[in-house]
Amino acid sequence: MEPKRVADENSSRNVFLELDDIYQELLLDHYHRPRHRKRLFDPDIQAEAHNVFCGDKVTVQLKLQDGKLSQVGFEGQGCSISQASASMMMVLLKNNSLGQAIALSKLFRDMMQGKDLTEEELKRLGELKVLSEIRRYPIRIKCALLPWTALEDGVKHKILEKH
Amino acid sequence: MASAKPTWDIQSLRQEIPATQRVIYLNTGWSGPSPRTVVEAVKERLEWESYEGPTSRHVLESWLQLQGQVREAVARFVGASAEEISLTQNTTEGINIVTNGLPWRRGDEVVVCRLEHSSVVIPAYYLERRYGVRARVVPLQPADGKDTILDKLESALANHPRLLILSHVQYSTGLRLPLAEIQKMAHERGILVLVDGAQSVGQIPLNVDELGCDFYAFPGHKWLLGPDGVGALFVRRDLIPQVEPTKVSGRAVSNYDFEGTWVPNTLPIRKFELTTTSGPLWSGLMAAIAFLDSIGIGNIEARMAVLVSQLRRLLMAVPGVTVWSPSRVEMASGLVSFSLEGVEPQAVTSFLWDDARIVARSVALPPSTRLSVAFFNTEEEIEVAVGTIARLASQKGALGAHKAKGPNFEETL
Repeated sequence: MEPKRVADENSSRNVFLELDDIYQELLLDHYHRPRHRKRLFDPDIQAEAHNVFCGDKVTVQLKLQDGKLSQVGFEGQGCSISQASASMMMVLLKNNSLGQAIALSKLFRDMMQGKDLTEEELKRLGELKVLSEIRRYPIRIKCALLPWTALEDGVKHKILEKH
Repeated sequence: MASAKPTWDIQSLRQEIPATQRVIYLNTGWSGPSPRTVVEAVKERLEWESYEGPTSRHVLESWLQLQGQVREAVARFVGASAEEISLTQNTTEGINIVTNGLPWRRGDEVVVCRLEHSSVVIPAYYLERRYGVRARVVPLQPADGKDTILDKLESALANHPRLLILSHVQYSTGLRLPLAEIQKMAHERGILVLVDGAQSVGQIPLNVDELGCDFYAFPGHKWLLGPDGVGALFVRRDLIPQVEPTKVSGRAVSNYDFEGTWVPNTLPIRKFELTTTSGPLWSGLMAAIAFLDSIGIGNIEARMAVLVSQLRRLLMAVPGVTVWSPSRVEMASGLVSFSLEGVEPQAVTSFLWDDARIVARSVALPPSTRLSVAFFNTEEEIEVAVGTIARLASQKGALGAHKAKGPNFEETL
């Protein structure tokens, strides 16, 4: 029986025990030393996503300059998978356009939902490809997707705003 | 009728407002008498929706369209854009959306004024109970002039409250506050201002955008002459994400699933609105706005100023009468409160109805009877009202014991 609330590293470790060391190391590194974990001043895009079952929360902030994501930041709380996914997402998104961000989001979602990606596609996901291991624990997939859900919502509103 | 401007044909205008043919209606500040066009719009829409089937495709489409149209009409009337207007049931609902939705921290402060309506004071007091927010009450007095008001507010703002809540026009005395100056003072100190517009919208010209308002809540049923149960809240565009919706529905999420994941919809103002609302009532509000537009808010304000000054002049000549409402035109409004020495305000209000079918109300502070003068009232009605008060004044030895009838339920409305 999966614990109802997975908000600390210990409970995530159960998953990690069965992951290869290299994946585990990378995930925990992002969890302990999150990249771009900060609040931006006057972001162009801001969105948040929650999960009421495990208490996870991620807020994504993005700033655009010349069509590129010049500054990225996230804040959040929750399990190591959701927070590491957010940290890796930030690294990947920086300096991409909104269109590229959405394409990457779709790719990541496809991977997490069990679709086989090509070598080329996996390469585009960078470090995030380690999260494909999480697919073995279906209940944790939503944790990995949480920051991406926020991203998609923020971008959608930004695009709607223009029309 | 459409343009009554050059020759103000008050009699034909009154024909359009049935209540004026039956009573002397001096209580628009509580609820305005709707013109015939409003009543017809409500009836027609109710019939049409019911007879066609409320969720038949064409009815549903029309209902959705109506929501957009009413938002547009309300927005235009107060100088906002439709994306900044949330449709509510009344002013109090709008005030609560803001007070309960702001991100309070324990120890924050909120400022309200003495003389205010309970719908301003109580939401502020509840913040103490819920979030540990301290409420400060500015000791406003009925006779305070503009400089005194600004001085008193300035010292209350020195402690850097998060929010100032006040009525543009005070319900008790009709005092019209210098809102532009007050908001400037607050904004210079980084303080947000929530305005209760219950007594201003439909009475005086208003442009919330030019005034630089943060939040402005108002009803459709008072000076707009719409049906009871409709109102709106203006939230300045950039403040919408800061206000958390306290009552929520599907309109408050962008996305959700049954695995617990959800994305709050923080940007659109519709997040404050719940599900089904009344198409007939919104149709009524549309008709009400069209009616006022056909007269022109500038004409309304000008005519009210003439009637109010007549009322004040006559009232002050009655022995024993104290008029509590401001005399300066720029500080005054259509609300005129007075008391009669030796007679309880409720008894005065009761006598007005019993003796001359004059509809008025009493207010608690200052203890007084309040007459609401609207553009559709006449010089003759004002003479009758003051004549009735003079009669009571002359008989008060005998009638001093004239008791108010029925329960005193006025203070909650």
